[in-house]
Amino acid sequence: MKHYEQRFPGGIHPTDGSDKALTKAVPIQTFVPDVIELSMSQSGGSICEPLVAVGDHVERGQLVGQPKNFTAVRLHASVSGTVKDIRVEKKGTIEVPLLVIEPDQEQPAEPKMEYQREWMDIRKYSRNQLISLMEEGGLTGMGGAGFPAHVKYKTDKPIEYILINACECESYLTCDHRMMMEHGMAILNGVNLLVKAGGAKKAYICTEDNKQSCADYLTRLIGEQEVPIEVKVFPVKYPEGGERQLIQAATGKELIAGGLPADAGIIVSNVQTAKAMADMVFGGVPCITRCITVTGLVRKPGNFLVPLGTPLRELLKRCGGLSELDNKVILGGPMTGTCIGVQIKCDQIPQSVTKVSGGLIVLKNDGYEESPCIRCGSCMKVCPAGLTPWKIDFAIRQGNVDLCHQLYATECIGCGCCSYVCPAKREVSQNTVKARNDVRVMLRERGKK
Amino acid sequence: MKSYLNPHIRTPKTTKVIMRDVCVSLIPAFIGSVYFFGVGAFYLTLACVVTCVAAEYGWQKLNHLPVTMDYSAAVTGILLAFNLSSNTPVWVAVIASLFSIIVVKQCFGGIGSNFANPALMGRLFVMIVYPSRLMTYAAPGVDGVSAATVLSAAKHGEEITYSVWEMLIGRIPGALGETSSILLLLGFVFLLVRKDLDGVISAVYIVTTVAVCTIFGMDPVVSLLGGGLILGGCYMLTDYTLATSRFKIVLGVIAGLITALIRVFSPTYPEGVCFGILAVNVLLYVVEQLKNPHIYGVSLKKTE
Repeated sequence: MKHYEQRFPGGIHPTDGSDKALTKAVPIQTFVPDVIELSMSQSGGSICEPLVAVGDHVERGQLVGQPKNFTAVRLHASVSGTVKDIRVEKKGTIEVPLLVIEPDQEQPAEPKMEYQREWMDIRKYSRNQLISLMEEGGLTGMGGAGFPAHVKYKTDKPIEYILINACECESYLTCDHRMMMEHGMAILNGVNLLVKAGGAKKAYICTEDNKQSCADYLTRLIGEQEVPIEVKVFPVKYPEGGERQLIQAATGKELIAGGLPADAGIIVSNVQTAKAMADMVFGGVPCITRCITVTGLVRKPGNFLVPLGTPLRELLKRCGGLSELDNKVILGGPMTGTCIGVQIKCDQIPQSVTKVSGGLIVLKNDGYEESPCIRCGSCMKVCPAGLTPWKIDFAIRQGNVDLCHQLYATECIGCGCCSYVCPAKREVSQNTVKARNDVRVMLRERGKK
Repeated sequence: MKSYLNPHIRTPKTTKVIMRDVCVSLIPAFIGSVYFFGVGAFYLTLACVVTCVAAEYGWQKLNHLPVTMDYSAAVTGILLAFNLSSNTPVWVAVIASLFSIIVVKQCFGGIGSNFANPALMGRLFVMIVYPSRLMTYAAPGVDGVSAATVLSAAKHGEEITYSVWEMLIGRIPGALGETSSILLLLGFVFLLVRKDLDGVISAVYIVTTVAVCTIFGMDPVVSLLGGGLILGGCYMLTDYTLATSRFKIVLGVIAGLITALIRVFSPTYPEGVCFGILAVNVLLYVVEQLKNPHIYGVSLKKTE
């Protein structure tokens, strides 16, 4: 294992590490909540069709949702229980069905199998077999974007490297950290499978030096074993875990503007995706659990490996409740997550755990007010894509989408670094993302004509 | 309206904090100016600051603009006063302040949108409408007797009667805030420690100016401490648009060259700091076109 210095431009160091220290030493807790609220939209924009009716009894791992669009994957019951209700939740303009399942008293025991302790022989699986297992098991990228894994791995482009994203560069989150410490062997077996599924030569598990212990542990597990897996450690910097930044840091390659990692012979997957892959292939359990960090202003912060559909309010209660009422609650990381409520109590949170929820963070309620841009150029310095966010910000405020296009707004990755550093507290990041989307719409319409 | 959009954590550094830091950093030099030039310096600074802040507030209210109140007008006021001689009539200071804030700053869109440093434009305004202040500045002491500045004396081949120590602490004739190099640097160190600035452009500018002046036969100590080089380099050139530019080194060199060349070759102006800095203020937009920043993945697309 080597400590790599190869870097990507820009980036920030938002916190001092005290945020991660809240939870990184706390062992993962597991529990089955009193009620499961399984959303048919497990990642942004995806939607499934429910296959069960009210009153049906479902077994854990039973298929309950059939994908209805391209970004959706199959959804399975995360517990054994009875479907009590099918509610319809409004998510923007689309209506998303939500299964309310009451878990049985007796749940099937978690498979404690050898893949969690030792190396598995993967010779009997072919690439196509693994990809169809991914599709059947409803595997999505568990880093946050939630892109269907089987689509990513089905590529006909020659793949050289699989990059396992274990950077967890967002502050506060430690779920990947704890997963590596507690499920290291399962993860390595999963990575081994992913290499095969992608037809790749090698996998790099990429992490940051604030998780040196994880890197050491995984390296020790790999030991003398002849597997195409190597651990890389990078110095801490946000957004190390951004797909393009990770590729740049790990291989020194830049993707062509608008290109996919596969074009450069690379597939990037989250470390929890690798764990889910192993669970699926060796444990026979589809993608029905995930680890989520619940932290910030709660009494007992921690990490929870819970069934999908666990209500967030249950998680907060497990953490001893909110310790600050003048709060804002963030779902996801503090840089890219969404604020799901301000000054709220546990019971007022309607959301539940999905395949992409990495964190639930309670922060002090400090909203921001915009003031005029002082042209300090901080946003340019931290932009990992090399953009000039303040210019794009001005252009999009004037509705000048053409100018945004000339300023390469399309290359924005939405990391939020520019808004983080802005002394005028302008919504530079929000506006640049808006500009990116508007430019894409404009280009698509031009293409049609 | 407060916003709750991501990112949900932001740096505690705000425009207000930065501008407040600048105000704080100017306090030592302000105290020094009152000590050297008497209570007139105090009134002059007060007049400038009050006028600037009131003018900005009034303008924003009258035009139904958001009221910023971020200390930036106070910074302009202090810096403008620092550029005046202590025997400048208060009404001149008030008019210069109004010119700085209304014409130079607000008419171009307020903070961040002004094309040049408002305080320096105010100084230029005084130089034009009140030219008797150009050559002579009040000498230290409460009597306000005018005397040639060190730079002006050096230009006319007169003997410099001030010791290096006097020049360093500021017991020399000059604008009220520019003379005490040591107090100005003290404040500048505070800004560096607070990481409000990196100081690169200031260092490049000061070194270039002193070096070029020395090449053309000026005394390096006089060129460093005799005029407004420290005040200009550390507080005026560090306008955020300049100090954080990708071309800050180029800009520092250009400003230094212009300053030094005016000091050496101009038949009338012994001081070139004002022009050097205003020149790069205007040149910034030209220089920024020199080279496009590297944008991720775009160069690959073009070579395809």
